[in-house]
Amino acid sequence: MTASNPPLSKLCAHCKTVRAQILRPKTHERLCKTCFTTVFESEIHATITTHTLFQRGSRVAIGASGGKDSTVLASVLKTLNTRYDYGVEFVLLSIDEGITGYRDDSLETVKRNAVQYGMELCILGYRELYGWSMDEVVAQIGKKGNCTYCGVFRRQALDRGAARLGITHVVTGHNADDIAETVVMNLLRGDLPRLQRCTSIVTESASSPIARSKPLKYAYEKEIVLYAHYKQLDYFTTECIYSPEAFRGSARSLIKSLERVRPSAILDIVRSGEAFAGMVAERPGGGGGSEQSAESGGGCGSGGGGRGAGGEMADMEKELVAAEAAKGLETEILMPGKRRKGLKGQQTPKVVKEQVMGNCRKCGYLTSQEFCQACALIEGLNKNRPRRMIEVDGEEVGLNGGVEGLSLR
Amino acid sequence: MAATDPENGLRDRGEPAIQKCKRCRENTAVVVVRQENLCCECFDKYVRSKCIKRMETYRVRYPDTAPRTLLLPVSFGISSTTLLYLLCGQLARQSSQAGRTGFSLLIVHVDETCIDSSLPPRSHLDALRSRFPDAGHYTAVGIEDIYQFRNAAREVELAAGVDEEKAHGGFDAREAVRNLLGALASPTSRTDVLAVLRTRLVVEIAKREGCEGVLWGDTTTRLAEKTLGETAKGRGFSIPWRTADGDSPFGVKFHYPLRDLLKSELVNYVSLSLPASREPLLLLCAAYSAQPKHSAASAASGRNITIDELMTQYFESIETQYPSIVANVVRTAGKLQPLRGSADGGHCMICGLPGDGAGGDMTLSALTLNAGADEGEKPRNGNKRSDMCYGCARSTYGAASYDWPLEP
Ligand SMILES: [Zn+2]
Ligand SMILES: [Zn+2]
Ligand SMILES: [Zn+2]
Ligand SMILES: [Zn+2]
Repeated sequence: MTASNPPLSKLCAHCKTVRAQILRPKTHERLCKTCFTTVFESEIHATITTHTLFQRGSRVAIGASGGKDSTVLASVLKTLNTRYDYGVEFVLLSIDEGITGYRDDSLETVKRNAVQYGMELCILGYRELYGWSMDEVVAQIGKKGNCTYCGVFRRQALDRGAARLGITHVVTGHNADDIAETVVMNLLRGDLPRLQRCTSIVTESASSPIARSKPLKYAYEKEIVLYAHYKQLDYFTTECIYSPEAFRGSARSLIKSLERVRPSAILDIVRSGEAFAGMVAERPGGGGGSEQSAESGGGCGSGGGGRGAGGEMADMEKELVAAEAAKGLETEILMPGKRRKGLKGQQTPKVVKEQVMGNCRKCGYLTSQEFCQACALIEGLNKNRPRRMIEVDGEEVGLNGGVEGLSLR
Repeated sequence: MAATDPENGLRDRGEPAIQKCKRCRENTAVVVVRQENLCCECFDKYVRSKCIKRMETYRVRYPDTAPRTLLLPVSFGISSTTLLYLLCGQLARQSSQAGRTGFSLLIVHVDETCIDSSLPPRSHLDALRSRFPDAGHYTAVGIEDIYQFRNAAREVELAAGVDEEKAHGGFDAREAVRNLLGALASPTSRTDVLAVLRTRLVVEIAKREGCEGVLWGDTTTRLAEKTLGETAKGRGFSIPWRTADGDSPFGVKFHYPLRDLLKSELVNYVSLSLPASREPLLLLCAAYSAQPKHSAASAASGRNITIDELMTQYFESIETQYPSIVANVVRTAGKLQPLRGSADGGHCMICGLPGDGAGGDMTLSALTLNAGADEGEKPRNGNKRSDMCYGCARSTYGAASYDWPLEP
């Protein structure tokens, strides 16, 4: 359909002088390399300025994993900071989960990046912080459900790292694909609170003194790879060896199919997700500022299909059936009550509690419980009692943990 | 797949152990419904009760009031045919029990053969009429009849670039619809805009005929497809308008009486010889084909498939194994409320819904993005696309470079 104007079609659609070399994944425009990198960078610049992400004179940490997303983020921020004189000091913050063959190698990449971009680097390890490396966690609890640990641990680790650096703002490499995937996943899981939060570009939560933002929110994964390729960026390609959950896998393959049908679909899902943020009723107890910050984790690494781990969908199906059965009894008693809008009864029972923030009795981290999520998990590990899922602050953090992949991309 | 799956589906008659129905414990089970073995009678009760529960509002009212007219669009597919059958039964019961009915039906078929000649002809409506003669009034309209409705049609004509003069002399509505859809860039956009036209036509007829509401045949599965499909098309804001029972922004009510039934359950239902219908309903479902329209391979490649079709395929593939997850998607959609302030934002000129006013925000590349950023505040009213919602702007966008008369 596009091939209607032969002579011009060979030229870059942007500068119209150089021969086009790239079919831009996001728009299917034909561009030259230079225009592609320029357009890619200026979109991120536009994202930053539209949302006023940075203040002149501030120090901002880049959650760096050595992977493509965070490497591209660091490179682009370095470029834009110079080009547009943001006046921001960027620092690389890396978390060492202790995953042999994955993190140890990727950390070498981050160390090189620090030199290449002239940025300070801070590395914090799970072992040092929690007394458990991910390898040790997996050895104890197995591969299933370990993302919970990784997610909770990483979230705190980033906060602690930022605090150590005297920084209150961490930028992460989440891209448009990750966010679209999370929107779809939250619809499939029926997770309304996360659905409401997962597209916001800046997330601040009562439970964390550190703000997080996602400058690559509108950038396509494919374009990030292209950009890294043309800029010959030094990044680490192996993905987390511990596989992501089934819901994310299912959502991911759906997103990929949608992108093939209509390339704008990823952006369009992000847009729908932004609308959802304004369509979720405030939670009883007011505020809506829940403990879980809005991270739309990108899975551990931008992992592959995750089709093997179908257990979670089956588990959720069982839970829902059980909830339905329980509700059936209740419904019989209540009948003939008129019900509104097709919402009969409540969803999966989720206790919404008033949230009163305090400090973890063990480590002092902000929490609405006696102990913070990390300490609760460590307690479990130390008792040698594996837990697949925990209920924290009225919110179930089992499946995604919300934060894994947050900065370590 | 659905017909042989052990969790939901027709029981294989060759199965060695003859199972008794779990509800009546008397008859032989013929179908597995949400892991329960049911006989034909109990399955029939199950399906009827799900529909009746959603039709509560339209039971016979006291004191005596005139029955409210409801429009039932029928596509000759499984869902709308089943709904017609169920409502017909409900009306008959109301008459025999109360001597009158709580509602009356206007059954409308929207004929889209001018766009897709493989669809069954409108004359098939006669088959429904002779099978259910007492269900209500029957009528067929063409999708091109949207041009008969002034207000809706004006906007569409403008969008299609149909001149004022053309609209008067020798105007060919069928050609106009074909041109309009032909101008759009992709199959996804065409099915998307066609669905918009269909909804608006049904609404216009409902209003002209004084109907209180429209009874859509959407199953749980279909509503879940719609939820994710609309999300994927950038129409997330419209989900409450497109999936919830009750008032719609068009001034007529929308109801989805089959919202608690899965598509696969209806497929089983129409295949059976029912207590009140010995001849399976399937014979009436002229638009239904058991053959999926797209192979898994074509879905994977993304070729010649639309977003809506992709979603259909996705949910039909998970509904047997995970029916509660499908239902939960719909429940979640039901908890989404219309965007605050969307009512005063004006209506989208294409879909007619209270817009998110975001057509002008549609960002595709830095070229459009920076143009807005440089001028500071984006001029909401100056931008033509802001007369549209984001989803409609998206579906008409690609048309710009292919002789779409409104833009660049
Ligand atoms: Zn160029
Ligand atoms: Zn603690
Ligand atoms: Zn029975
Ligand atoms: Zn619209």
